[in-house]
Amino acid sequence: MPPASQRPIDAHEFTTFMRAYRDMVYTTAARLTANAAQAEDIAQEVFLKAYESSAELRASPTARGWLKTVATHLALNHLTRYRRRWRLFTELITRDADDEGPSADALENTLDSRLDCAEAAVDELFARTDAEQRYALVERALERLPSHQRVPLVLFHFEEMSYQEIAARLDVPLGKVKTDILRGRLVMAAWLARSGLDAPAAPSGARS
Amino acid sequence: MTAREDRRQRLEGLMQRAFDEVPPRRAPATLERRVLWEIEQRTLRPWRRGFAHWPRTARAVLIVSCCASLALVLLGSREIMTRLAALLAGSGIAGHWESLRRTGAAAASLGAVALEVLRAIPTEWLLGGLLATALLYAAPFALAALGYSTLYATPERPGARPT
Repeated sequence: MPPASQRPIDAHEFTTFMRAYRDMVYTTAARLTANAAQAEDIAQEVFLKAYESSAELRASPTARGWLKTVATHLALNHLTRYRRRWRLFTELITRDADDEGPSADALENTLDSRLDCAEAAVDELFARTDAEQRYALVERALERLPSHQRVPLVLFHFEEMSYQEIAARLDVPLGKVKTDILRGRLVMAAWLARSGLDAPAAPSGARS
Repeated sequence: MTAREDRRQRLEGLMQRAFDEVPPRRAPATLERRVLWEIEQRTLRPWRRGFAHWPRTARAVLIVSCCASLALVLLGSREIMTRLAALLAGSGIAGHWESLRRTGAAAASLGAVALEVLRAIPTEWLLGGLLATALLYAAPFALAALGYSTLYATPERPGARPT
C-alpha cells in the first residue's frame, strides 16, 4: 500500500483542504481584481491546480504559501490579459489616470496639509464604527482605487512584497511603483476620512 | 529622517493599521461546487468530456481520420458520378439527362453574367462596400464591448458599479 502522501486524494479530503483555504485564496484574487466574479474564476483555477498537485500539497506546511502565490500570479496574469483586451475601448473614452493625477511633488505638498487631518479623521472613523462597518469601508475604498494603484498597494500591504519585488513582478519602473502606492494610500486615507464624517456612530463599546 | 520620509511613514503606518484588522472575505458558496464539478468532469472517461479535454493523441487521430474520411467521400463521389453518367448515356433516360445538362449550362451562363456585372463595378465601390460591411459587422461588438467596459467591468473610474 502506498504511503498516505502518495495516495490519490479523495473528494472528501480535498473538500476539507479547500475549506481551510478558500477564503484566503478568494480574498487574494478579489483584492487584486476588485471583481467578485473574476475572483471566483481565479479561485477555481487555483484549486484545480492544487488538486493536480494535491499529493504533495495536502500534508505540506507550505500549502498556504503555495496557494497564495498561485492566486496572486493568476490574478496578475488575468489583469494583464484583461487590460490588453479592453485597452482599445476604455482608452477611447477615458484618459489614463497617470495623465490626470497630480505629480509626486504636488502630492508631497498636499500630504503636509492633509495627513494630520486624515490621520485624525481615520482614527475617529475607527472609533465611531463597529468592526463590520470598518471592514466594509476599507474594502470599498480599496475597490474604488484604479488598478494601477490598487494592485501595488495590495501587493505591498497584504502580500508583504517589497517595492523592488512589486516593480519586478509588474514590470514597471520602481519610481512608478512608489508613486502609485503613495497616491493610492493618500486617496484611500482621504476617502476613509470623508467616510468618517458620514458614517453613523456605532453603539458605545462596539469597537472590537 | 527627513520630514518627507516621516510623513510617508506615518501614512504607510496609517494604511497598514487599517488593512491589518480586515479579515479575509468569505468565498462564495458556489466556489466549492464549481471546483468539485470540474474535478468530476476531469475524472470522467475522455470521450464523455468535451473535445478540448481529450488527450492530444486522441484529438490528432480524430482530426486525421476526419480528413481521410473527407478525402475518401470526395473521391468516391467523383467515381460514382462518372459511372452514373456512363450508365445514363446508354439508357432510355438519356433525353432527361440532356435536359438536366442544359439546365446546368444555363446556370453556368447566369453565373458568368453575374461575374461580368461584378467586374463592371468600380473597384472603389467594391472596397467601400466591403468596408461598410466590415464596419457594420464590427459595430455591435464595439458597442457591446464599450457598454460592458463602461457600465460594468471597469472598476477604474469613480462611479463605476461596485462589484
